Amino acid sequence: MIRFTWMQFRVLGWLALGGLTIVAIVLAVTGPHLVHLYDTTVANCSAHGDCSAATTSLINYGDKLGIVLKVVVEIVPALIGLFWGAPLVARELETGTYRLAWTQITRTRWMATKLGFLGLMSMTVAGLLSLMVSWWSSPLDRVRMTPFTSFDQRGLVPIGYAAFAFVLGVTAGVLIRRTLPAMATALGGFAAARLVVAHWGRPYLISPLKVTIPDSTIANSGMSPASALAPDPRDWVISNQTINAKGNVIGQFGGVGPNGNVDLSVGSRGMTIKGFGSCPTVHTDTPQAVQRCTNHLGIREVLTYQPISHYWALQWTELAIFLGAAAILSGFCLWWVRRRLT
Amino acid sequence: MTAIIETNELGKQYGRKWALRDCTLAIPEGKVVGLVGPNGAGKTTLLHLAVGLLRASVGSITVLGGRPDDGPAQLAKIGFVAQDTPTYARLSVAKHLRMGAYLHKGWDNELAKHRIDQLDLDPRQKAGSLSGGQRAQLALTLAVATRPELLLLDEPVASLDPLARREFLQSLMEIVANDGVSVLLSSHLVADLERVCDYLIILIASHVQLSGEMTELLGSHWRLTGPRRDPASLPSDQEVIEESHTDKQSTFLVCTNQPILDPAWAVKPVTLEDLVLAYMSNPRRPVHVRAAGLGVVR
Repeated sequence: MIRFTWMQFRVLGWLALGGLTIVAIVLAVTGPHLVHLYDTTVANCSAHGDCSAATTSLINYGDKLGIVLKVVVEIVPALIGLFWGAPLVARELETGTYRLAWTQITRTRWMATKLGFLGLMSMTVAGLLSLMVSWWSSPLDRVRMTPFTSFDQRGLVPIGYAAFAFVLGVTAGVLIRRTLPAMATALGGFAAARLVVAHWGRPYLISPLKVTIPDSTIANSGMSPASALAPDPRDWVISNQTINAKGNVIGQFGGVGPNGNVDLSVGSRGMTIKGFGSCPTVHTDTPQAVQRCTNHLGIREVLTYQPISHYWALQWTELAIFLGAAAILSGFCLWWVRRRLT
Repeated sequence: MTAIIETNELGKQYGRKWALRDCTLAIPEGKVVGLVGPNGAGKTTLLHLAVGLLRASVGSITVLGGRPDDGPAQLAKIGFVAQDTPTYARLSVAKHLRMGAYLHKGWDNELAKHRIDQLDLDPRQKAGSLSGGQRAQLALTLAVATRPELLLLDEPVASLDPLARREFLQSLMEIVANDGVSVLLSSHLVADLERVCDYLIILIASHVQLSGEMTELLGSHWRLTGPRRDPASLPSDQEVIEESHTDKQSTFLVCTNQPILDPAWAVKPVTLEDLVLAYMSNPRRPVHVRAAGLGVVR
């Protein structure tokens, strides 16, 4: 049955292999130069005291291809779901060939082999792609210091996405029985699942940490990037709440109220921050003076964040979630094809 | 008579609609059985139930002594050619044979290759570019080369031109002669069934209207033409299947195993076509014709 599966799948399989090869060649050609550029400029920039020029030139070199790769890694699982998953059963039902296939071999075995073989292929393709892109991007990632922004294009999670997208496509095909609507449904479902997990799941898959720091936003009358405030710039700040002396939340990102505006005035009795109180010892409104006053009044920021040390645990957890969902859907497909598609 | 397919009050329901209902029949072994009936009579449903593509809603079905969904051993006993003879359009003829070899332990590659040679099919040709007749032959080859005990064919020739149809049935008859395989063939083309079948089942609205050996069926039905007459006055052994009357004349199609002695009648044998049409246009209780005479099935 595996040989038969490969026979039917051959064209798509070679296509995927061809695509991977092209990506591999492009990355093999440009990657070493990126590493070289990093080693010769960024690695010893602090000695020359000019790191911004070095990092800018590195990022300029890699950015265009980096964006293309980002799109490729994001889109490949979806394509797998569309073109490998959705037609798998739907096309057999549409063209009537299921009557040939399922009278040659039991449909349980047919379905199990197809799911297993093509599922593994999907994971392999996504895994290889992620591996190549992760390697190629590593100099850029080290310079950017924001690993969580490319979380879903690196490491393990693309494998989970591909497995899930594939099985979701199969499931849509099994239930809808027509290829095109199944493709559309699979695409919508996959995008929705990715979005839900990325926005409402990932931040809390592992309990995030909290840290309370002095509010520096009011004094500097502007918002500082949240990650700059985190213990490590590579940490992923999920939320940044402003609290008062009692610990009540009064705003976001170091600001106060919905606009983040603070009404402060300096008078004879010192600096007054409206709604919080006054600092009799502060008589100027220089940033340092304002900072002293906000500290005195107990205005602080609470950062909720995933530290860089959680990165790989989060990768494994999200991988497990998508693989688990794929396994559950596979079981459902097997059951449905055996019991209900009659 | 051992039955290769036996059903008991078999039914298949889709939502509130019945595709097949109260179907009770027994199909004898070692014969080429024609299953004839109008569209929607449940022929395809019955065949799909027999090969395990469908699951019965009610009743039971036994095929070659086993349940149709009883795993690979059961599937291996049956060769199935589905309606419109589906094949994989993008796979070549040779790849279809390889598929057979991959999926079946008992695959007879010699037989398959021999048939493809005989049919003059190019092994490299994609199945999607074959003519309807060639595709049907390929599907038949796939079914036969698994060396089944029973061949089930669902309207295999319905969409073929007369020449391709004749060639297909020719092939089928050769296979039967060589392998002694039992065949159940559904069709609404009576002339084709007449050519190849030796046993006939008429299925109307999922009920078996008539079943029996072809020769017995033809030998027990007669068309009587004579002066106008009330059908109730016919001898009790003559069952009226169809009647038509003009002012002076009556025509009956009767079923009997007794000689027709009344000299008033002009007695003519019926063709299979007449017979099938008569039963199709006059649905009635099931009749099973045996050499011994008339009998009602169950």
